[in-house]
Amino acid sequence: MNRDHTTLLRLRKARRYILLYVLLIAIAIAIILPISWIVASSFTTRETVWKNVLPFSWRAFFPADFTLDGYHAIFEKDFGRALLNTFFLGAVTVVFGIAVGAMSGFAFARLQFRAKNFLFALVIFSFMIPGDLTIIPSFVLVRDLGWLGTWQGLIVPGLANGIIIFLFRQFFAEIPQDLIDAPRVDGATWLQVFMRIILPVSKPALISAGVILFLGQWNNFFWPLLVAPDPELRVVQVAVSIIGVEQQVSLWEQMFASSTLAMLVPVLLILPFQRYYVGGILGSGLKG
Amino acid sequence: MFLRKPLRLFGLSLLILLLATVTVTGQDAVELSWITDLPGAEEVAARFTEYNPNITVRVDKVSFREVFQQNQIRLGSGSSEPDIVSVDAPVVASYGFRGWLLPLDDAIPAEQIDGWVDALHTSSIYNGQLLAPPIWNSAQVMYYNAALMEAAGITPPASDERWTWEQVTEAAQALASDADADGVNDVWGLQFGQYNRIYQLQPIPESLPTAVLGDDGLTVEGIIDSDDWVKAFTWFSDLHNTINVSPQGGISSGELFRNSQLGIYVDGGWMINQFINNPLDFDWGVAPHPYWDGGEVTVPGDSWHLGVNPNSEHTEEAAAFVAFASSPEAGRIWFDVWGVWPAHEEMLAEFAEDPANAEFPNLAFVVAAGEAPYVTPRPLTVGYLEYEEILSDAFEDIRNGADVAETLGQAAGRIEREMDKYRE
Amino acid sequence: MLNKLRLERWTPAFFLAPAIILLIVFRYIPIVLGFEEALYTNSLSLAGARKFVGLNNFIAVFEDPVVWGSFKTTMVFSLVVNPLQVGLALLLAELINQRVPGIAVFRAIYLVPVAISMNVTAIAWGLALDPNYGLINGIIRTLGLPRQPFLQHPSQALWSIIGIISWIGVPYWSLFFLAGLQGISSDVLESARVDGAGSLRTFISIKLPLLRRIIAFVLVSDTVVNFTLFAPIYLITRGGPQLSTHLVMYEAYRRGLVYGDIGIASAIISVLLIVVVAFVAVEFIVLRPRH
Repeated sequence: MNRDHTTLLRLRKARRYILLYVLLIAIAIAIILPISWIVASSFTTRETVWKNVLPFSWRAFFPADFTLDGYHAIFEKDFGRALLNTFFLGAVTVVFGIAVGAMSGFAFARLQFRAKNFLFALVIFSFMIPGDLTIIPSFVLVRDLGWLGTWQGLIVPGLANGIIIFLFRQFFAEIPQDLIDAPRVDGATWLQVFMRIILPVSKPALISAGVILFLGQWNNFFWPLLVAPDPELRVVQVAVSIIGVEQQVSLWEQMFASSTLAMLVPVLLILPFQRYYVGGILGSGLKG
Repeated sequence: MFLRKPLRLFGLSLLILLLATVTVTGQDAVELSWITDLPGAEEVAARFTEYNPNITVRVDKVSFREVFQQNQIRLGSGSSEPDIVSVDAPVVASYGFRGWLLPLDDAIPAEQIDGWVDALHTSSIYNGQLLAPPIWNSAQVMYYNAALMEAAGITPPASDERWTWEQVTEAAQALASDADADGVNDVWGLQFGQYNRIYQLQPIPESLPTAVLGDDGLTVEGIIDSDDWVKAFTWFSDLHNTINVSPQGGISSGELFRNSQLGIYVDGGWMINQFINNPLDFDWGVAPHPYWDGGEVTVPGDSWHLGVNPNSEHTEEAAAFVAFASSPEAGRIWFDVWGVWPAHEEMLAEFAEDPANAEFPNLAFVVAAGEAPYVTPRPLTVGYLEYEEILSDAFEDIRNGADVAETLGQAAGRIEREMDKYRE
Repeated sequence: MLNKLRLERWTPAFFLAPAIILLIVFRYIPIVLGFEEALYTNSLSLAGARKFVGLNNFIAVFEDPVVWGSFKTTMVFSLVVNPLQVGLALLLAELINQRVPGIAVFRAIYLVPVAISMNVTAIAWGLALDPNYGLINGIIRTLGLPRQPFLQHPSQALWSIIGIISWIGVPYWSLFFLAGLQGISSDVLESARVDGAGSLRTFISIKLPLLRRIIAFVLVSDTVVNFTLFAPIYLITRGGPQLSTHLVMYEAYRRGLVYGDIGIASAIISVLLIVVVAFVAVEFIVLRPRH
């Protein structure tokens, strides 16, 4: 009787496991298939890239005839420049964006001042209104500042980000009061507390904010196109859209090669930080 | 201690940011900006700088659709850049109406103006002023896969033999096949390059013949929903929906043709260069653009034009560049880089007589260039952008099997509403 | 000492100034400028010259059946896509929160779409859903089922778009829920288990209530994102077939950047802004934590 019961439980558990893995694998396939097609196509020649797609066969997920032509071609067209530009843009945005976001997040979490609720509402409301809605007036504003075709036109408008401020505020609010009280009693200024106490214990939030800011810049397309179409300032997503087509004809191997690199970089960036990324959001105090 | 590192990083970034804002400008040197998607733009710009060492032209490459967006935002908001404006032929009127182009009558040498092909000259004028010179010339032609035709028992047209749409339809039906019976043709009979744009489809009604726009340049009701239009686009719908010789969906016609999955392919003459430089692995040919039996011959084809932004800080230099880019010398560069032939009548004649062009495949260029007399400009209207966009919706719906008369009727209503604002 | 106190009074300003100034200049001023622009027309006059037309642009917006239709389509789309994505993201989070061998690998894979741009996604899925040559129809045929038109038919196009954006959206939002699920203390779950609650019961009556604030946050953010959805429409369907995927942002884009009528585009966006804020307010009220 007892043994039967254990077997039944074990059977039930095994069934649950099988179901679970079937689901996990099915979803994984749905995610990997389109990506592997793009990657495989980036290693084929222009002539064969559609051979296994018209109609679609499983062969499309492997390069039909392995070649690096596409990659050679895009680097001849200065794709490397676009990669470097976007790294630079991302790095500067991360550094300044974190500074701006963490400072104000700290003030909202730890300091007392007038109109605090009003100012925080200003922050919250700002991320309820996506930048896409105001892209034309923003363009006119940046033009009137004389920032068209400049780095600051690409960087400064995106530095203050409501979500980043919100994330830091929630994270800082949960840091134990004792950590702050001790140095304050010893006469440390708030700036010292912020730099020496708060920032060092906020690695998850810093990484989350950094990843969000970097991904935002990396995947940005329309704003850089509008503000700085100059070849010297070209960014990755704009380069992908230009490299793919020439003389009214699609250069498929180059389109796929540039797309592959454009998605590889953020994936490589996000995977090692996965733990922190989730942790940073967790620390954002949304739980419970 | 840990303070130092972030601070140094801070300082470094700040320094870089400051350095980036300092723009280096030499004395008297002028940099012109030009937003375009055209291959050959860098080459033409470089040659111009050889002659005018103090002027450089910065080519801001964007994709085709984005040229229009950039123009709308920048010119519409009165920006000083770009100095040189890329203008697609049918929007010269639209831009001219909005005052986005500086008149260039005095900036271009008279003999250069006289040399342009008539249709292109006409397209560059709005309200009696020369606003945007043409830089090259194009026409649509009919490409065919000779091997597929032979297999289907069809004799391909000679290079000067203009088929009727009736002949094309018949050939397309013979070409189309679904050997493995999976419901998708292995070979399609006929497809257009830009299968949902008025640029490409204009001759289908126009060749009947029938009008594509009212005489006032604004009215479409009673025209694009007329019986003639319904007849023309019922044929277009049938290709995709009943006789099933043309594919639906967004697969590029050029790729199908290259893959031996398309028998007859109507597209721009600029594809010839592609087929020569990246050779097709089958015998192919070119014939003149088809027309309706008993109808008129009309062929799509025009050029990009260049204009000068009136808010530019360097209008004189920009005008000088536009003059150069539309000259015979630049015409040769455009042809060498991507196989579009010159806008100049005289050069076209030389071109046809050049012994190097007597044989296939170079003969294909002559076939395409020979269409120049039949090229009809797109409808001349200040509301072209609205007209084109709404018709594209309609053509796409018709491809997908929507009722033809109803779809065209709705499109007419939508376009009329947009045109109202120009009527005041 | 007094000096230091005075300094301390300015500390909040020092910390806040960069963020608040940047937000006002680059987020709020453009909003105001957008509303102002909606009162002008510049499509009919010389470059840059504007004419004040009062509320005419707004009247035109309400009178135009295409604009009106785009608002209706967007409304239906939002009512479907937001609950759907939030629900699926919750389930996905619960799935990858299972402690089974190899789960870390799956979590890593599921994170990948989060990093991929909409451009690349749209190219890949646009092709995968092609009526003749698409991968999905290939699979459907293999299963012996009839081909589907997907993006080619008004009855399926909007659903196809919803599927495509969920490919990115569901894994993305599930990250937030996963963080929340991991934050639930094991004591709570253990006591539920001792009380004999199954996994379904535990999920519904223990976990969901604890996730209420995250659900509210995600729902609101998702609503905002989807109300202003543009890239996949621009890249794949262009509003068709038969205007079935013609969302408001695409109509605003057409008016502003294709037809060149910035005034009307601004009026459409202003109305959309008000609708979004109203929607978000309702969601906040409904999901407000109850004490």
